[in-house]
Formats: sequence, structure tokens, C-alpha cells
Amino acid sequence: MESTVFQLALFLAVVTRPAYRALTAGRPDRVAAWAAAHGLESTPRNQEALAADLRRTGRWRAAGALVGLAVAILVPALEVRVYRAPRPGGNIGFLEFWAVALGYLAGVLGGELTRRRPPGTVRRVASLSPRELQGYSPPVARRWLAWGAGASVGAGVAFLLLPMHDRATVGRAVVAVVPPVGAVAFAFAAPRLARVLLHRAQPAGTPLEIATDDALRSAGARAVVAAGVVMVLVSLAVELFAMTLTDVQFLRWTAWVPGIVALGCAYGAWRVLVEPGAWRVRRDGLRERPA
Amino acid sequence: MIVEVDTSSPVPPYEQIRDQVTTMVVTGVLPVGTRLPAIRQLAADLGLANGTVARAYRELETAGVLQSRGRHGTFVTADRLPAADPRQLHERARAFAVAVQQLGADHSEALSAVRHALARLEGT
Repeated sequence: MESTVFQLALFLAVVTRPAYRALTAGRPDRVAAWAAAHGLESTPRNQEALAADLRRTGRWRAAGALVGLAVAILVPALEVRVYRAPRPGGNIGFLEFWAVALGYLAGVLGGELTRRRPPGTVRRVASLSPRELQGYSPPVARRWLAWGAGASVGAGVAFLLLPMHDRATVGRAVVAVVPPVGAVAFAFAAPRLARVLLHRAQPAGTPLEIATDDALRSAGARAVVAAGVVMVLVSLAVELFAMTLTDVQFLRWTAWVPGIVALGCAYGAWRVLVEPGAWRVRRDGLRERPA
Repeated sequence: MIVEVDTSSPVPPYEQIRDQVTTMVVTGVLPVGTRLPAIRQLAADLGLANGTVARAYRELETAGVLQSRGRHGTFVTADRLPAADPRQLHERARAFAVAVQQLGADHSEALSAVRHALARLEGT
């Protein structure tokens, strides 16, 4: 019981602020700050369109994360408790983190796919710069995906090879294989999903509409990559916490520390990536690489 | 680097795209080596059929303005750049001057509007 309350408090601490910010994303002051962070010209029409889009995507994301949280709480089958914390009743389940991140990712995709297009006009404009992911999200985020997945695979292999402690009750093969496979899958899937969002049609009647849509697409692409980073780093944390179940005394006492760090990095990376000012779209046209 | 298509114009959309890309290459707005969007992406953005954009790209390739490199994309090339055409610029300036007169705007307002429009395009 105490463990469940602790876990619920942990999730609420993580989810409450983002949910509040997402639900109030359409407030005029927030919209103006968002537009300023992306260097967008402020016109009444633009502000109105931005507010509607931010409000809708914010609600989708918050709803996705909350549904993920609800599923995690209501479906006990999701629980795989691999870590016995050094305090009474302090077990932490990890698939719950995945469920929240997966729900958030679904919310991001839902918000992007339900975006309303501007009404068609006889004059249509388009940019001659291709929409590439490196122009819409920081390259370091994709490196995090690769490093996190690699570290998760390495930790999984190590967990498989190390002797298990007598009292460990968790399935060794499950913990050694499922999180690394999940991490690799997320590391591959997140950039591809972001590219799908970027390559959708961009109907526009003015250059300002293109710039606004680019900024919104960048926010969507960064949120998708951020969800991927969270899932990869949580996978790594699972492996690191699982090390406390091995028969290596040093790991049993210390492996939870990098696990906590990985969870902190996951939250921090997500916070940084979804900040409006985290990245400004770079769409200057890509040059060919010198031969 | 904005391309604009007017679907109500008597000029076919593929010609509008072809002429604008040529102008941007000649004036250096699109430097040699710049990669252009895929046919499918540009067609979707402009609400045109893929074949329309493909025809514009094909004609630009034939004219030596673009070069297709398979899955790597389509690039601006320096093979045979068409000469700059000041006549075209003067014609368009004359059309704008007529519109300024019809609107009753004075010279400073007209020049200010042009500067503003250019600045917005450069900032895109």
C-alpha cells in the first residue's frame, strides 16, 4: 500500500506540471511567449491560429499521458518490479513509466494528425527547402537515443552474464532482453515517426503561415523524439536497477545510483526538448556534401 | 526561398514553378548545390498533382538548372545557367508600378511595401 502511494505521488509529481502547462497552452500570454520564442511575427490571425493549435495539441498530450498513467495504475499486469529499494515497502515498477511515455507519445501523434489545415486559396506558397529532421529537432536528442539504446543493450548483456542473487525473484531473461529490445525499437521508431509528421503536406497561403506551421511541426517532432528519449532512458534505468539483483556486492549497493540518474536525465531531456525556445527551425536549404 | 502558385492564373502551374526556380537560381537566391524538396513533398505543399511538379523539375533538368541524383534528391546545378533576364524584372516592376498608381499610393509607400515584402521573404 505504502509503495503504491509513493509511486502514485512520484507519477503525479512528474505529470502534474506538464499537464497544467499543456492544458493552459492556449492562454494569450503563453501563446505570445511561444511565438516570440520561435521568432514568429505576431498578427491577430496568426495568434488565433496558434492558440487553437497549442490548445488542441496540449490537450491531446496531457490526455495521452494521463491515460497512460491510468492504464499503469489500473492494470496490475503491467507491473514488473525489478528493484527492491533500500527502505520499507519501496519497490518501484517501471512499465508504468513506459505506459505514461507511450500515452504521451500517442497524444503527441493524435494532436499532430488532427491539425486543421488552413482554408484553400487560389494563391499557394511553399518553401523550396526540404523538411529534414535535423532542421526541426536538435541532433543531440538523436544521439541520446543511440547512446541510451546502446547502453541499455550493454547493461542487458551484463545482467545476463552476472550471477543472480539467491533472493531475486524476477525472470532473468525477461529483464535482460525486453528493456534493451524496447530501447532499440524506440530509438529507431522515434525519429521515423517524427519524419512522418514532418513530411505531411504543408498547405499555406502566406510565408507567415509556413513559418508558423514549421514552428508547430518542430514542436511536434521534438515531442516525439523526447518521448523516445524517455522510453530509451527508462529502459536503461530498468537494467541498472536490475543490477541490484545480481550477486555482485558492489553493484547491489551502487547500481541504483546511475539508475536514478538515468531517470532524472529522461525527465530533464523531455523538459528541455519540449520547451518552446529549445530549438528554432533551421530550414535554409541543404547543400550537397562535397565529393 | 518561397515559390508561389496562382491556380487562377492562365499560366500553367508547372510554368510558374519553372520560371520562379529559374529566376531564383539566376539571381543566386538558390545557390548551386542547394537541394530542393522531393516532387511529392512540393506537390503536396502546393496542392498540385505530382505530375505537375515533376514536369517543372524535368524541364529545369533539361535546361541545365537542376540535376536529379536518384534517391539523394534534386540539386541546383551550375551546368548551364540561363543568363539573367533584366527584361523580366522590368516587366514585373512596371506591373507593380501600375498597381501602385491604381491604389493611389505614393512612391515612399510603394518602396516601403517592397522592402517589407522582401524582408519577410528573407526571414522565412
